[in-house]
Amino acid sequence: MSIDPQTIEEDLRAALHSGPSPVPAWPDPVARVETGVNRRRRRRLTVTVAAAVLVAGVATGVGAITHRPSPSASVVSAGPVAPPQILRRSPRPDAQPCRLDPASSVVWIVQSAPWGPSTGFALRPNNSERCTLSGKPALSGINTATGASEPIPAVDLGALDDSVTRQFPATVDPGEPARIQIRGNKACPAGQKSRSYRHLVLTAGDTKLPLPSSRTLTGVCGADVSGWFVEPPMDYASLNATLQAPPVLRQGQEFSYTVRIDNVFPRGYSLASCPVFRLGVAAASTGPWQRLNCTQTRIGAHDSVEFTLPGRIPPDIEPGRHKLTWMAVLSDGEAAIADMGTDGTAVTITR
Amino acid sequence: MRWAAPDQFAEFVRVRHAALLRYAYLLCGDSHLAQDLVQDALERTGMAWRRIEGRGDPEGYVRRTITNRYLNRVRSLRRERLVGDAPEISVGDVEPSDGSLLRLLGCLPRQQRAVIVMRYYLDQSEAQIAEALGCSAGTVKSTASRAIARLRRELGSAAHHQPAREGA
Repeated sequence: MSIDPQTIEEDLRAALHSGPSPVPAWPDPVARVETGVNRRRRRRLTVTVAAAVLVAGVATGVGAITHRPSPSASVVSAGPVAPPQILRRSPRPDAQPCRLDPASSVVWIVQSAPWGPSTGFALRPNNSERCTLSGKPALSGINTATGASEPIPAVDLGALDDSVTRQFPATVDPGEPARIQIRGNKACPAGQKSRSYRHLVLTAGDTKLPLPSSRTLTGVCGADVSGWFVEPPMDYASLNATLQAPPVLRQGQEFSYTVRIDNVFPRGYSLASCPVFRLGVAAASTGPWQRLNCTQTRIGAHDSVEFTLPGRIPPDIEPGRHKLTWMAVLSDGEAAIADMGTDGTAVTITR
Repeated sequence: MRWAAPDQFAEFVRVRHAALLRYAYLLCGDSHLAQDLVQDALERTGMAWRRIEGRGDPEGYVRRTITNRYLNRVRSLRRERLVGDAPEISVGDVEPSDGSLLRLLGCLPRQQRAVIVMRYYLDQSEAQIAEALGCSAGTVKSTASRAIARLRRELGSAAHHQPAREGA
């Protein structure tokens, strides 16, 4: 439908209402939503139980939670708290199969984030729409002893570690990486000699996907290749957090910084219970998770709260320009990250 | 125990989800993101259905959730970007599936696009949009005005670059 600059308002109204919806209706919307709600309820239960255990532990051990601190008292918990459960994007329904072509290549990625670095193999399919990459590719490589290309025996090393949230199979949007984990088996059966491989190649269907040449398998008896998966992004609270810290800090220095949390939306935001937080320098944490001893459990519409918190620069950090990162996780598992737009607050660290 | 949608919520989902998908699509211009936004909003609504239903206007609640999650979303992607060998994640291109309209809307900043869709698709008043977005009616008015001016400029520019039609 064409739009004329002179009648743009009428044309816009007509155009927005006309034509079939570009998004087809779901075949069984109620079942789809029920599945999602049940998943959320399970996660919430996990978070609530974990929070209850923590509160009970702190209340009996320290007695800090039952007595809200006065403004002059410390605003952080007396001791470290357990890492929180963070809500993440729900698994997506399978989409059309991803297209892989010979130009596809697997890269080694390093993800830097306040909750820790994440590394691994990733592939970006050449689809212009959401697609699903499933199944387990086969792994082969050049045997460094013989120089011959050979399949690397598949072994089952059990479930992947749970330090990272993964969703199988990998349903990805254009540009989003599908990940895969490769674990070499170092425990060779009796009588079997280990082998080393270079120029590793994954084979998915008819497509060969070379791995970066810097990645090798050394002294293994087979390898466990996972299925394709995604690391889903976190669910973010509708809050803006801003961190202010001295621009120049020394290695090992203890300092104070301020975090301001703004509720930019027109409805109050309930904190339910005080959030836990962690300060970091880029992806490296400067200490354990701690709980804010907040005196209020609600941020009014368009209101803000501010906390002045103690921090410490790790003594072994490389001097130079760094970013301070701050992340809080609320009782429902949603996250708030300070200065998202700039990936943290710039500081210079000196000796 | 497995949660089952209350009858009225199930009916609401069945009857209104298609319209909500269209609204979400007009907001974001991406069919997959639209489905994510609607799914997320309906799940949140299902979790608190009794409270939301008690207040009346559940559809308004769902639409506000969709709008807020959409406006909040791009910040999330920026945080999750990768460093190292891989380039940044693309935020997703606008699908030019509806003639020039969505391409035009795609040139607007998110807040302006949201105001345009709420005003011309939902037929909401400036006061209603202001309430939903948490800003003043004056801000809505000026945002809409800037958006329309931008669309006029883009249309003028497109018309200028379009080859003359035969017989025109």
